[in-house]
Amino acid sequence: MQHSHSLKLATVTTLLLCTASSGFAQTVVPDLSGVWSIGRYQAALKPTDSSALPLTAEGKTLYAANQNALKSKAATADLTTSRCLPHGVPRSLLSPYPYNLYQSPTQITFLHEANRAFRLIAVTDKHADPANWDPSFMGEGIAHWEQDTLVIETTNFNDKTWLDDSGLPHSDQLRVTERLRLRDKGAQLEDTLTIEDPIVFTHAWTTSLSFRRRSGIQIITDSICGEARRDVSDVPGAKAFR
Amino acid sequence: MIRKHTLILGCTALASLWLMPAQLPAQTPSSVANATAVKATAADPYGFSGYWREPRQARRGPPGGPPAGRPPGAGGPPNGPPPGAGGPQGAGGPPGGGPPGGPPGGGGGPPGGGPGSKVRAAATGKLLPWVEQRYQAYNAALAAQQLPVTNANQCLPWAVPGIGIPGGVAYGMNIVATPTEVVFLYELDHQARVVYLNQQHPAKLKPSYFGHSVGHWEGSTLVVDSVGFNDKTEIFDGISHTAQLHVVERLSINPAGRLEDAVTFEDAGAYKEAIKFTDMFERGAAFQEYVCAENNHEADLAKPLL
Repeated sequence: MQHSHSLKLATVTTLLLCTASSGFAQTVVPDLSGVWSIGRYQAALKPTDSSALPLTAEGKTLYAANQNALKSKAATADLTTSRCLPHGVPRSLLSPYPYNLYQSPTQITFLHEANRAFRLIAVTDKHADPANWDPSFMGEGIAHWEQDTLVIETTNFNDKTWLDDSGLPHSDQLRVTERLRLRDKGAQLEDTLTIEDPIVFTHAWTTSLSFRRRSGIQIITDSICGEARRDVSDVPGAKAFR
Repeated sequence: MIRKHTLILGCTALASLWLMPAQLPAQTPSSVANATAVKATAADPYGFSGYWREPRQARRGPPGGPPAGRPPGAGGPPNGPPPGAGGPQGAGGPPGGGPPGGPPGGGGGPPGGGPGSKVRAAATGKLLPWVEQRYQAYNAALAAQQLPVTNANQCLPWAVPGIGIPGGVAYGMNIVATPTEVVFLYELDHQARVVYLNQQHPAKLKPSYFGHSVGHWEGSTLVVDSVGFNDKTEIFDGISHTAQLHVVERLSINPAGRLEDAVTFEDAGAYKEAIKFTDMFERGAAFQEYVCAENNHEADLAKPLL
């Protein structure tokens, strides 16, 4: 008995030693992989606390101009849509078209069906040197885990996209922090987003999106902008989608 | 006292006991550290995941010839007013760009070197008359400094595995290997392919640009079978195919660490016999976003990052 106890103790000690020496994290992380689509389509993002959008004076001006352009139905009103460009973050997530999330220890990948936009997000604590990277539509994201939550920080955006389908603007100083975790036993994926942009907003604000797992469908990789697409009438609220 | 190497060996042995891939269902939660080991052995058994590019040597182009590269549209997308809601191929009309910045195919002439030379050489003498006629017309247009309409300059998807064919292009790809899918994500106009592992093609397929790809592992080789294409793409600039196109790829990592893609094109409606060639990739750095419709990225921009 004593021998057995000593063996167990030695094993546990060795395992702890290995854990400490190798830097292995023991945090259990969920598998977020799968096909997801927005639980309910919404054209406009709203702060989680129901407060008004904290727009700066410039932000108000830009937002009003975008909304007036949309009302005019001019082809140039929503250039990312009319030119088939990536919709940026978080607007890409609002689409009723699904996306596939791939998770590996080193990379988080979002592959959106809508115009095949994708995000390749390195699991690391250091952003790429912006001196070597052009500002982009989808930004440059890095990710890390905090217990069961995947945290994605995305920066280095250009200023050509909107935050949502209502024309909510942002500048190239946009910073989006997403906190993703599973809900409802994995049937739902919650994404809590913090939006920071000192040009457009007076302070950071938070909004939340919920995605529904779509186990029965496959992403269409050549859903070409302007050509026939998937029927998304089964997504609540999608009738309002332009 | 435990020596460091003894500790490492012991840890490795313990880890190998804990992380036997067969013991771990693909969809169960795992620790961050464990997932690293598991993914390396189970989800991605041969290390396909990550960034790949054409080898540097292949990007240099032929001596004395045009600069390497196959810029989309050889001049980019239309420079004129933005198209309407119909997209780039809609109200925008034909390309309004200037003269070609360099002939697609890096020379446009007959096979003999430069970007695309391998597939063009492989296709020589194997094209049915109507395909050959189109190909010659394409080459003649290039020789006349005209800009033939291609999917590249219309910002439409290329053929399968067209993104891998260009040769001489600095654009890269990112492979995401999972137990059920292998995904190819391309720098060039954010194109994407999903290969579904250990599945059959659906009985009914709606023709599409990328078709439908299924794959399986034969040892360390990923075998990909693709059908269900529309006839809107070309296996390389000027070389048409029909909806009967059937593409088989055998991908493997050679001893030098390069990714080889042995491609076979079969199309009874376009080719006299199968066209075969092998493309090659080496590991590369992360790539920047490239959006064809915005013409926001030139291949040269990526070179300092390699």
